[in-house]
Amino acid sequence: MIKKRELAKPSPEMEAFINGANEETTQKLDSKAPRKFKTHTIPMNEYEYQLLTELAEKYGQTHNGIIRFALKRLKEE
Amino acid sequence: MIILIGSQKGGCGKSTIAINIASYLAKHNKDIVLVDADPQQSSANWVKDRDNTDLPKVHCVQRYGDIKNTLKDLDSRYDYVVVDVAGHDSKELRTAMLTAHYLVVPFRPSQFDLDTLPHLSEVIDQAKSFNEDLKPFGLLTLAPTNPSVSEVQQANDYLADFPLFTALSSVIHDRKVYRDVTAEKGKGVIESNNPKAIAEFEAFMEELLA
Repeated sequence: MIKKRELAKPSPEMEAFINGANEETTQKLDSKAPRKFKTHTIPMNEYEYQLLTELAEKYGQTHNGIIRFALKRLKEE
Repeated sequence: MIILIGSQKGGCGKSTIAINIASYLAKHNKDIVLVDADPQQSSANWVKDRDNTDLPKVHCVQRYGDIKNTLKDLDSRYDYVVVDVAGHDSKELRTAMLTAHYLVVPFRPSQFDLDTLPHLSEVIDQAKSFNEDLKPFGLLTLAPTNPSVSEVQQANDYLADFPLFTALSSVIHDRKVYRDVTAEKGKGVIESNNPKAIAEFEAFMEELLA
């Protein structure tokens, strides 16, 4: 006989506690904070570097600026 | 018994402590499972190395997200469940706190490590409202072996400001053997031939399980 499964849900207080970990790491981030958190080096091939240079010239940005611009656009999508 | 090794800071030796607790208990013929809830899989990789040896077996389970029910289930099947979580405030850390009996918080005698204690203390305080049995311990790790360096005393003084933690008097020092044994076919320091490291780890385990 097929039985209906009752989902054992934690209490709202316990659920809030469990999900608190995610909230606290995402809510406090400031997009305009000084860029001192992490420096990332990106290995590139010649094709990628040329593309970066072309896009930077096209949009009047620095190389780093165009990467940040791409990140922002991707987030908006 | 569920022993959770957790902190809000990476690099303080959580996985090292977890695998060494596991090998200590296995060597003492305890039925033990190591739960690797850290996507870095350090503990799971160590168990894979150990599986190819004749050393006492340590079973390993990898689980992510809400691990509360998994831990409850494993606790009913094994003498000891040792849980290794990632070095940040995560769902794994919080759900493990809801069922663990002991929480061992390794921390280095460094400002950055100690700075994480106020927030972690708050999280533990909340967890204790759901799990009264949770006993948090502070364990100083990667301490300098040079006795003239006063960092250990300074760190213990700092920890005294957080009454929620029981400060363990045992200290784990920064010894190369901890790194060597993990690379050497899944051994624990207790299975090494370094008497100082063995003595300090045995002292820690005896104090923890007392």
